[in-house]
Amino acid sequence: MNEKLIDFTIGADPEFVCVHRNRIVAAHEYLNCDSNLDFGADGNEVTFELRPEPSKNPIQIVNNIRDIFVRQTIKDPRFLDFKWVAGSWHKGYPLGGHIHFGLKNSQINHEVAVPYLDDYVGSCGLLLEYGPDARKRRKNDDGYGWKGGMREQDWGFEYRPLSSWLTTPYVAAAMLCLSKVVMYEAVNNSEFQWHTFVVANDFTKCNKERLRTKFPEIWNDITKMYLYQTYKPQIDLIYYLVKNKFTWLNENSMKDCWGIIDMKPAISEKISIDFIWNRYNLEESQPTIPQ
Amino acid sequence: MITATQTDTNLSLIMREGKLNNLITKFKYHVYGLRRKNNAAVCIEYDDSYVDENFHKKLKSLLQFFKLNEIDVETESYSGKTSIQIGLRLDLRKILNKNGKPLLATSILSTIVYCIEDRVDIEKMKTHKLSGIPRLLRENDEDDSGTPRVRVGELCEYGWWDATIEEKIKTAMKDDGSTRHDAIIKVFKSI
Repeated sequence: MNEKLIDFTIGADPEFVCVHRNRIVAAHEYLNCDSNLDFGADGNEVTFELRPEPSKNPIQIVNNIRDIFVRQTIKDPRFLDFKWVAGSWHKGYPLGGHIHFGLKNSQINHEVAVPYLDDYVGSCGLLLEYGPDARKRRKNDDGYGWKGGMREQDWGFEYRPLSSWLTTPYVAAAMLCLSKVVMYEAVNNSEFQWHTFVVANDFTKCNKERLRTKFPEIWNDITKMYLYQTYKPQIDLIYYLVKNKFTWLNENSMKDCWGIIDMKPAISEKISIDFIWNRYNLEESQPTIPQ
Repeated sequence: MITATQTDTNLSLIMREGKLNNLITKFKYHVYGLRRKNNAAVCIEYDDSYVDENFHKKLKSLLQFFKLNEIDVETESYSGKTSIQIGLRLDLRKILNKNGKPLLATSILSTIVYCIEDRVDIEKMKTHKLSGIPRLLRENDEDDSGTPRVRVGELCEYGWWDATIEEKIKTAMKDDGSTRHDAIIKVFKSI
């Protein structure tokens, strides 16, 4: 590793759709389409988009995402009646799971960083997608979800090929942690032996069979990365899913997987002001004010 | 969800003692540390576009409660943030009881959060007198000219603060490059 280590924040703006009685619920009908809100609408005004607070710790982002879901269902309980869907594509709407890196070009050249993400994060993401939906998301010529998709931002850059990994908090944690591990290695280890695994067609055609043959090597490299051990419990889910040919969609609903239920009982219980100050009054015989 | 600046003195401990880390909340909160002694002991920042319609009623009760108990609280609207920010001054965070726990700061923070979350009786709270609260004085309560420091919290409490005043202050700051404090005095003298 380099002598001086650089840490950085990561963030995300994953999307999902809500379905009610087999009809897609348009985000703009339920939300103020203000781009500052953490529960907002994508530019198409139909898909919902989450904007969790960035953090240096990818697991904190998963917590932040759940908190957004919780607050939104408290604010508008109608969301509990909807079916929530993430993944690659749903009824004509592509779903993205862009990941943000708070790294300036002076810290790492973004053009150099993105191929590393394609080979190690994008490839794993593709292997977890449901093939037919993954192809539908990328069938247009707009480059949406293609290899190398990146957007420069004031705070760093946004990696855009991933589909929405919001299906479960475990998958979300795995993808965010893997992104952190790979980018941390890219920024801090100038001697890491990078390999090239993916070609453009792997993304547009969702060529999972070819990628599956490369997966042992991809995984071998990932396990050599400095932060892998830190996030092993989260990232190893990817190995399990790929090895067993599972996708990141599971049979339970996305809402259930995130543990989102009616939170009203938890927020409506009244407490008395005496209760709040009781411990202070009991334990505080003589407070000490430091000089 | 309530987050706190982990690196600020005793904030993690204050959050833990109040069991605030996993509290399910309607609003998003961030707790941070204030260092300078000329700040109020507690500062509550919010944005009108973020809070609900009952917020000002709750804030008024909260300010009455703190005033009654001589706890110096200042509020700031138009924070521009999509969360409620609560600042706790360093000397308040450093007050520990004999068991080494920052229960005064914990109780103050819990009171603010539970009040904004509609979980305490705001009418009872207004008249709830506490005992044994140490006085947390602010340094320089008057500026050099002897003009009393303007406390936005008090202005809110009496309904003297609204969006037009904030605009006038910003204009005054821009026009003569004066500090916010001077601009506030100038605007209020002109009313």
